[in-house]
Amino acid sequence: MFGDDIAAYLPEHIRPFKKLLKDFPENYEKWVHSTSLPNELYQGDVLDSAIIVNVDDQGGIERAEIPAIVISCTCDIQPGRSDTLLIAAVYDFEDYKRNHPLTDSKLEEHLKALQRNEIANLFYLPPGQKLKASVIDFQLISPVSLSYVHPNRVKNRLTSLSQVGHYFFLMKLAHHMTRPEPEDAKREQPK
Amino acid sequence: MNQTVLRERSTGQSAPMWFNDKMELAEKGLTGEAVLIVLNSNPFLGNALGYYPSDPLEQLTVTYYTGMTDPDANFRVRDSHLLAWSQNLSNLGTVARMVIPGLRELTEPEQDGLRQYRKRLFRKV
Repeated sequence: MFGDDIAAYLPEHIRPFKKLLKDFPENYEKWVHSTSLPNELYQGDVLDSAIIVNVDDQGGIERAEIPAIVISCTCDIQPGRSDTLLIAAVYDFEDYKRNHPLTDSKLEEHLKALQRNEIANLFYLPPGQKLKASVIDFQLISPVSLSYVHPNRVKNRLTSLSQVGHYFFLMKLAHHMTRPEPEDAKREQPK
Repeated sequence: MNQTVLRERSTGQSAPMWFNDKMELAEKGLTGEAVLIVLNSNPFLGNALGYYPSDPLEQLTVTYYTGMTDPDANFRVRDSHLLAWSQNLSNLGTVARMVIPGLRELTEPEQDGLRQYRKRLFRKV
């Protein structure tokens, strides 16, 4: 494991939590959720129910009405701020486990990696507040109208993330979205 | 214009952090002056500033203006926050790999399993 090096990379407001991050996944379930729901909608809040839309292999439209997590930045999702916000699909972990086509040791390995948050495309959230253990699918992100979410769906949130929980979420989201190349990756100059 | 030779960054300090420290130092020590920062052979930081690793980066100069108290300053052309943005992203990625050393993509069977699981939840419109 790393020593105190991590502190140099953390923003100031997260530095007091460096030990929690260093000890991850130990006690993850104790610090990822906030202790109460804030009045405003925040990035990382989980809505009880929303519509996720996908375009299938044939170009048809399919939808699922399931819990969803807010992907857009907090400042962009307040009423009257912009037209839409981005949400990602949230699956019930027990349902995911029961209905996953992998079996035996392969499934066990997959679920262990998932719970340790080792899979970049997925984000594991342990139970907390009103949320059951959940799997967030970063590959299924949909835009929805801000008016669709405010005010009723904001009232029916299942959880909101703590300060360090939000940083942890952002860390995985940034890794998934930007996928940094190694420093020695070959690049060509733009023409 | 002042020209100061700054010592190399200490072991373990990232280049962007070093650069930030030096900028802050310049801001504290001077008002209303331009500070020329010359970086020698630092491809990592050069990359953060928009250079490519393949660029022959022997020396890079950055002019930093201190003590901008002029009320019209907002109307002037300003440098972008590219360094802060790229440093923030770079730090998030670094911390992700430190906190989760086994971070990886879905394997093919896992991706296939996820695809089949989604089919249970989605309905055609």
